[in-house]
Amino acid sequence: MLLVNEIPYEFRDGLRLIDVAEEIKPEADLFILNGYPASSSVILQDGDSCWLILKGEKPTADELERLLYARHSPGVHDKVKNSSVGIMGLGGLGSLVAVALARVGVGHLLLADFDVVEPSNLNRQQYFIDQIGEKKTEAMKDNLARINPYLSIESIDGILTEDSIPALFKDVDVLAECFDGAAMKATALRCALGPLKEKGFVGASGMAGFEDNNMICTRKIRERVYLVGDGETEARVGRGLMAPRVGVAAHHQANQILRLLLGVA
Amino acid sequence: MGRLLPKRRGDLTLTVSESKLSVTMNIVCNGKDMEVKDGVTIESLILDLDLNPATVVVECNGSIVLPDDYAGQQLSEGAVLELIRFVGGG
Repeated sequence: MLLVNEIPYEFRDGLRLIDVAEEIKPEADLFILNGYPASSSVILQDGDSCWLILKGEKPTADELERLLYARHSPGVHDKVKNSSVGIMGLGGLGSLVAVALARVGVGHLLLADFDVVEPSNLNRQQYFIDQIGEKKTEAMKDNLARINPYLSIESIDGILTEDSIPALFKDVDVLAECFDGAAMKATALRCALGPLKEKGFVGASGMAGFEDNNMICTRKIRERVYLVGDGETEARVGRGLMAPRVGVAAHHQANQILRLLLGVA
Repeated sequence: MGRLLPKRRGDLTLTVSESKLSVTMNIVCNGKDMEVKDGVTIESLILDLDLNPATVVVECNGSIVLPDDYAGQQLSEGAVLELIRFVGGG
């Protein structure tokens, strides 16, 4: 038996992807076989799972979910869609973490930031020039909705504190610390080691400039608690924050969050 | 490591070298043995390490210490300290 767009389809010897497409979705022009793009002429094996896609066609919620299901490694989608991640700060780190988690299909995101989009953010943050002046929480919700409109996204527009963080994020599975300021980074970790110690936590420290890629690493500091970065390259006058290296750190965070959600960390 | 205690006026042991005069104790900081001034506070230890107390997470003998307590909390002999320091940027 095959699965075609997640629907069972009888297997025959010598059957090619294009043969199935001609029957089910002749207009398809993109073929995903077992989670990976494939040529339409490939010969199918019993048990294969394939997706027939028409480029440019907007999927429904069900179709998008089944697409993510097909595109991700087995077992990923069900876990992440029922997961909840809190993202504290929507700057260079947080905006990228949010985008990566939305793309991977994390079902519930809680976004927090007090600021508005301003021109100096555009060198590294996932906003657009026509969003300058908008609240980051609102701008990011709009951007994520353009990636996956079927996620549940909530936001907190305000300044977080050591007293407020535990209650605000009590329902998430994993917390992403994406603050800019070192004192708030320390505050967030204290929350993770104290009142929120049941949660996963992935913080970041040290990703400014254009130092070596491989100085950035992910360190486990406690059970379920991780810190990303090189730990030393501080943002300061003469050493700014730039898209590539902040992106390296943000995606370390996003992947570690995914690993925590999948229970492999 | 650690500032010396002020000499007391008239102290008869002044001929002894200053390092013998200051009373020290041993702690473990981030897994390494460290000799510090007896009864040093967490705040002065952090400052001696050239760190900004607001950017450091402190765990002392397994418990998180809140920043408001850095100035008042003295370390005792054998204390096991973890300092996690953050730098800005994100």
